[in-house]
Amino acid sequence: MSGGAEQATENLVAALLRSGHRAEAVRLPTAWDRVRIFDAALAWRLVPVDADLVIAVNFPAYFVNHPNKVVWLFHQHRAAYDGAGGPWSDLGSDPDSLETRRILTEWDTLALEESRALFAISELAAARLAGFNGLTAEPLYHPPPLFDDLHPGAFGDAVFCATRLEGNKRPGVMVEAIARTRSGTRLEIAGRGSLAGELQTLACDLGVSERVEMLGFVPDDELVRRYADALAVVYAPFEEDYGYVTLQAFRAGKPVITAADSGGVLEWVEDGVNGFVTDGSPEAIAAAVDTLADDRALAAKMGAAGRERVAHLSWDPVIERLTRP
Amino acid sequence: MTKPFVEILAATSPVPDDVVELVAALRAWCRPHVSDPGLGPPRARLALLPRAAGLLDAVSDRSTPLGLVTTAYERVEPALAARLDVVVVRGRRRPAGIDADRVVHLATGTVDTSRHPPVAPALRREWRALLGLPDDLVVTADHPADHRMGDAHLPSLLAVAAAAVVRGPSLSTALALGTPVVTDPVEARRIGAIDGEHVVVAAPTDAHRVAEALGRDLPRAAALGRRARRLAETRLDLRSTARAVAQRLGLISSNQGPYAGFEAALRSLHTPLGDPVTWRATGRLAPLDVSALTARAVVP
Repeated sequence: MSGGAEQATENLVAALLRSGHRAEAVRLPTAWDRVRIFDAALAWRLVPVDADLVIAVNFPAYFVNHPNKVVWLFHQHRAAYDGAGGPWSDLGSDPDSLETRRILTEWDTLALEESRALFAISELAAARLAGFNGLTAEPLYHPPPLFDDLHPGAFGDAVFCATRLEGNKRPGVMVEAIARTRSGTRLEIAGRGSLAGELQTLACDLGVSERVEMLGFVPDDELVRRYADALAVVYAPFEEDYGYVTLQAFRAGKPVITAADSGGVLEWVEDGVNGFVTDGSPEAIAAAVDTLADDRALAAKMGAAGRERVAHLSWDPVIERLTRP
Repeated sequence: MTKPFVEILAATSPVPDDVVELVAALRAWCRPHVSDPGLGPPRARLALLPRAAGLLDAVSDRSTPLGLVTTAYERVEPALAARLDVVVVRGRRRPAGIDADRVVHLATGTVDTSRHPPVAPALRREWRALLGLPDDLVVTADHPADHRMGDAHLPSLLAVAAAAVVRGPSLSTALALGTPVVTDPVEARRIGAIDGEHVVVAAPTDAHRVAEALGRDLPRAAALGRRARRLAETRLDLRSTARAVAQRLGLISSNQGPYAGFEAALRSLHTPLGDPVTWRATGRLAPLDVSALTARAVVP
């Protein structure tokens, strides 16, 4: 399972090709440490791209210098912005960090404001850009991977989540929540990451290892089946940019249990309508899981509302906006 | 490579300070100097004259690019108008008879933007926390005494303020720093700032309250500060004015050799003089014997 930005880039290229364009993805290696963070930006500045149109989607690719540059922003270098001071950032609020972040903010602003059109992957990404860089971007929503394959199914005895097992996705909260349910609901987690071992240990410590299934990488057809068979999807990351998991869950007709600080997920999940927006605590998530386990009709109703919520998503209007002269 | 010689034709009366600074800024592209046979024929001429009358008679060579820095807005005689490649005037007005595309405006209230890098509102907030300053700090600099605080203190305060009420000579500095600024209509007009675009215009009695509200509105403050910075860079910085003059006098070649792209990349990101990334980049290239590039990399 690759990250959301990688999947979106592949799907964007595929959508452009389907629309009759010639398109290819250009990638350069990037160092993410504070000392070398500007190097890749400068490298992008010098890459000769002889295309009619360049669509840049994230840092540092939007530093590419092209007269017809359109930015569809998935994310900036978040470790220098809202993630500064967090566990996955080497930048904080000391004077050196603040100066590095100041220069990066200035560079980002210059590179982004020179684009012919500026879009963002979500309202949240647009809001970050407005707050940090003073730039206005139009949110442009697109369908998640497997959108055409996902379908509703039965409401089984497990909640499901497909996610990278990293700190900002907070998979540990799901395990802790399952340990607090009284309904005996199981948890299936698809995905890999640095926290896999830690989660196994946590499940053992909490005495729920038999109710927590760590699936690791799962092929697409199995992913579709797991979504279809789930009771609901639990997805409570921290300040997610967009959140394919939510959209995939809704497409599969499943309610989503999330947290009030889950960022872009909240653009889709409406508390009590197509899922539950909790305070993010294991207790609150457990209560939401139990509510759905006790009332399958409610789960079905919320799942249907979720499926309706994403029914309009299509690549066609996205491609039309990105390529409009 | 030696920079081209540009002959300066100066009046006997004292040359205003900002014009002296403009000529100094031209040194990035040329050697401005009064007539000197030892320097050979000039690549261009730049006259610093209060009035244009008589300039044509003083210049016998009709093929050398000619510029005029003037404070007069009189009609320029057709023969001279046809001869001038660029006219620099103070403020937003221009002499009659000169096409707009040959006029460069010398702003009132100039600022060296490289000395005052922009600080976005979100980072200002973190600096205030680090320095133990109030989160809602509004700086007021609207009295002549405020601007005599010295070069260091007032810009430092303006760099971390949530917003500022500014009138007078520090207005350009505040804009360069990307400070969300509240000012009055006369001051805004003086520097060519637009209400809601680069600054917020308010009556003095209301200014502080408006600034407090502005400081609380992060996206609005960020947008205003960003556009204020661009105004300072493009209209209030003498280096921009000098670049425009140099361009029109033919001193900036469109092709500056194999390193032009690298230099342009750094310049396009407004990479400050002596910035670490410049040294890292030039350091990486040093083994390739790009001495010409590294020598030029320090040119602002």
